[in-house]
Amino acid sequence: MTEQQVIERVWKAPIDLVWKLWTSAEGIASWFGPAGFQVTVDEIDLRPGGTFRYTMGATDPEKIASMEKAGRPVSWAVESTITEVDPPNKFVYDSPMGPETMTTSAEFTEGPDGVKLVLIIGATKAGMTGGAAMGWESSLDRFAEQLA
Amino acid sequence: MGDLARKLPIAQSGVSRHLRILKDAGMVESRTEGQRRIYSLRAEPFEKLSEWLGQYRRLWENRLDQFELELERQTAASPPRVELGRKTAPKKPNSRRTK
Repeated sequence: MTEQQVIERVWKAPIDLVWKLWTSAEGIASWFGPAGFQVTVDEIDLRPGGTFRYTMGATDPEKIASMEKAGRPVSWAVESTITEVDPPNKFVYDSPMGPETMTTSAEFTEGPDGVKLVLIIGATKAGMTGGAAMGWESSLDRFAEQLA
Repeated sequence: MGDLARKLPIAQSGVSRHLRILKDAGMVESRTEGQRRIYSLRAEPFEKLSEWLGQYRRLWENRLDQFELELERQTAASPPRVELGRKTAPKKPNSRRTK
C-alpha cells in the first residue's frame, strides 16, 4: 500500500541558495516549522545513510497551553535517515512515522523560469494492526494540531 | 477464501490467519454464504491513508510558502545591503569630515 503526493513550485532564485536554504541547519530552521512552532536542527549529515534530526517545539503560548492540557509533549524530536544527496539537485530522506516510513524527496532543476522543485512525499504501509492503527491516529491528531 | 488460497503459495490456514489479522485491523470485512466465507476490502482505511497524506500535503504547502518567503528575503537582502552601504557610508564625505 503506497500513497504519494506530488507538489511542484518554481522560484526565481539561484539554485545554490535554494539548496543551502533547503539543506543547512540555519536554512531549515528559518522555514521548516509550521506557524506557532520552531524547528531546531540537531544534526544534518549530508550523505547517504547520514542522520537528519530536528526538534520541533511549540512557541505559541496558546498552543503550548492547549497541548499541555491535552497531556501532549510541547516539543519532540524527529530522526530521519538521508538516503540520497546530490547537491544542488536532489535530497531524499526517510522518516519513521509510527510503524510506517515516510519518504520525502526534493528535486531541484534549473529552467528558463527559475529553479523548479518537485517534492514527492510518499508513505508505505505494510499491513495495519490494531496498535499501528492507533499510532496512525495519533500522528494524524498531532499533525492536525500543527496545521491548526 | 478458497479462491485466495488457490492463488497464493501458502497453506489455507496461513491465508485464514492473514485475513483474520486484516479483519482485526479493519482492512477487510467478511460474511458467510453457506459454507463459504466471503472477504471484501473496506474502502475506509484506504481513504484514511490518503487523507493522512493529504494532511502532509497541506503541511508541506505551508512549509513551501514559508520557504518562498525566506528565499525572497534572502535574494532581496543582498542588493539593497550594498546600496544601503553606499548611502550611509559614502567614502568622499567621510574623508572630508575626518580631515
